[in-house]
Amino acid sequence: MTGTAQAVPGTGSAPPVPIPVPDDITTEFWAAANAGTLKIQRCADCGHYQQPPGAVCALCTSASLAFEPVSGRAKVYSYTEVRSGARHPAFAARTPYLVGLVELVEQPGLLMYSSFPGATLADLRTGADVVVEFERVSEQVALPQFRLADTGGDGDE
Amino acid sequence: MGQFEHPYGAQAPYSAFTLPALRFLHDRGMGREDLARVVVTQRSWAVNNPRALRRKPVTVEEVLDGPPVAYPFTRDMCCVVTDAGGALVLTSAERARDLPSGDRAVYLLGSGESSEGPLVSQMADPGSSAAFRASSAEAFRTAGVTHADIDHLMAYDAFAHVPLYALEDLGFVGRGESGAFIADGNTVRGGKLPMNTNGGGLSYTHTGMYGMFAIQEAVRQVRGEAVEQVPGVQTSFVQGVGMFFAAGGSLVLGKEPR
Repeated sequence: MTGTAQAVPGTGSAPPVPIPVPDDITTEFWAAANAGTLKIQRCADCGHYQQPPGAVCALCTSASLAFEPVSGRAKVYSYTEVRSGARHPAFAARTPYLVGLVELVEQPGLLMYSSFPGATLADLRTGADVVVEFERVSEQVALPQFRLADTGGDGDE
Repeated sequence: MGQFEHPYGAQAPYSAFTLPALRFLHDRGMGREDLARVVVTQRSWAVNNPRALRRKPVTVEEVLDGPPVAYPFTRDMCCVVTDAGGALVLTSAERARDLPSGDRAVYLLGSGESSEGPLVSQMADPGSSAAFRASSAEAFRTAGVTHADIDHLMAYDAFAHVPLYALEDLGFVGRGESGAFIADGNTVRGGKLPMNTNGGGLSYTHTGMYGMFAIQEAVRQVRGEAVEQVPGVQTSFVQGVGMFFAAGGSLVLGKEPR
């Protein structure tokens, strides 16, 4: 996969985050996100979901893959709060900022990144319920993000 | 793959390499104190080492109260940033015997290499390195030694969680036992597995490519020439890591040829 994230000039005052550049394999993921739907690539032969998408199924190597809408529900898997040292201007401007992984409810170990909009470090717990929303970062791109749900989780940190 | 990682600010080592640590601790019933104890124990090795950058003894509380870098990591849980250099001379055992310093030769008994995906989110279990497990198993197998034969361990430590992963993934302790193993004094002077005896990347040096210095300390220990010499080291194990958890390399070094 060759798609890389590149910064583009922002329109507002805050420096823009790196904007994802879709490639042949990821175009459908980003198109769905741009339309407000979280779709995850799934193997038609073995049923395995994979994220990021690939050319073949990472589990059974089948090339019969399709993007399927998922529930958008997930649990906080792990996280950090960066307090210093961010080199990218967007994240230097956002410091301290949260970044972490969420585990989609559809499959154990199906992880995605998130910035946890609206949350502080003190709010987060491993295992807490989160739901997807989309953060518009350009005319063509909306980033899946995960916000804490109203219910608690099973976390204990 | 960067398109799924970089927009969230998971770019630099302290926002990507550290990301699985909280989950590692959570799944094992461990806590930030376990990260701090890695720092405290390794600092104890660095205090007398004139080449180490961080030499002041620290307590668990002081490490936890240090400047936060990326939760749950404070400054001293992150490696130093230094300039440094190193070199190793590698030749055949036969040739080494004829060299003037042949009596100081250290033998490469076994080695292993492995890799896993480039994103921490793609690790089969972000709380365990498949690369560590495979590379170390290959090194033990090619060296023909077991864990009981290892007198000394160097475990690449860019951050304080990495030696915890290494102890478990290399099989020196069981899953979830790494924190207690360190807390019980097994990795310091007089312990059964002295670890990172130069102070490690956390206290000694880290140029961004620490592996050279881990190997050098193992060579010095096997030669009997280390600043903090562990008595009677016959066999040392060196574990390296690359591109966060994407790669692992392992060496077994010994005083005598196989």
